[in-house]
Amino acid sequence: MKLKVALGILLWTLTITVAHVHLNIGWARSGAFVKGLFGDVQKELQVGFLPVT
Amino acid sequence: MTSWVTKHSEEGSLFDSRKFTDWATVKEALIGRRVDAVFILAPMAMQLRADGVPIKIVYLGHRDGTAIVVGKDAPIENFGDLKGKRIAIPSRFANQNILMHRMMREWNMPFDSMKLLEVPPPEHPAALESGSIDGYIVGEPFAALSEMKGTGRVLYHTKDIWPNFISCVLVVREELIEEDRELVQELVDGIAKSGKWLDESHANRMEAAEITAANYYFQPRELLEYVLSNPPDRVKYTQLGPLKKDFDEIMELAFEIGVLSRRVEFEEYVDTSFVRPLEDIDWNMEHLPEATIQEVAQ
Repeated sequence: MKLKVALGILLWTLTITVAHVHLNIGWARSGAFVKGLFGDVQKELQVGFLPVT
Repeated sequence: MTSWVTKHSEEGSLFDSRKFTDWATVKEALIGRRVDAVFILAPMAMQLRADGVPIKIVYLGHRDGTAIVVGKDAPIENFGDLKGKRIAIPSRFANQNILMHRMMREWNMPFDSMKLLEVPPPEHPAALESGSIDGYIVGEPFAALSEMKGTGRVLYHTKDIWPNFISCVLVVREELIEEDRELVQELVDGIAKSGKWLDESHANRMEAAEITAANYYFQPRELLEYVLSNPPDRVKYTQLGPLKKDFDEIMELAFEIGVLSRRVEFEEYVDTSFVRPLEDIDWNMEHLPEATIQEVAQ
């Protein structure tokens, strides 16, 4: 019984996490975040533009 | 700038857009290296290079998307009728300025046939409405704005008088190319993919209008929808690799009318090594669901 509850909680947490990343964060940003945890610096570039076409 | 919804490339790099309101500030930011990449006027990029600023054009922003606009009821039916008129241009360094001179030559008109006035693009429609100018040439959406307001009409779309017209180009500092070629490639690929997607269908363009109106341009969605559909080829986002023949023509005319201080060779200011065939690139649409739109809206 305890094992079933634990697995259920684990599955539920996993489902919610995946849904949150998919719906609210985006996989690209999440991937960059995870890479950052392992010391991989996220590249950033500011691109200038004028609002004409 | 790359994925127009997530701001990230598929590799996870973050591309943040920085809006400028006038060309002079863009130029200064580039010279001072406050930005390493910028969409800038094609002749201005040439002159920056002529001045020794270490930049390279690596891609185009779009093709066409510029129009000559006159008053709705003005007795102007063709380019010859612009003789003696006051016409606003975005900048003397704009390819729109070069186009006006190209047209004057085509119509056998002296280069002083009309008065060309440098006016910031957002002010063009109001200047026409107030009567302080007789017409203007500008990139969208400011041509469409007068059309939609009923105060102006398009005399010519560039697609009809200089097909595949070049206005803005993507310029990057050479240091960035040397330091991080991969990042520049990601940016160019992202723009290419976005352009390919935009030109694939009307529905995609309408979706893009909705997103960019709210998050980037701060212009009415209806205006951007109009620009992207009336007519459908009013502005194009494919064929964005810089071609020597196009730039040589712009450069020669720009030098002739005194916009450029010296001739600059194509290889001096253009780097075509980032251009890849469109068949080889595509979005992985699986990670561009509706949810990522929310990400931009935050």
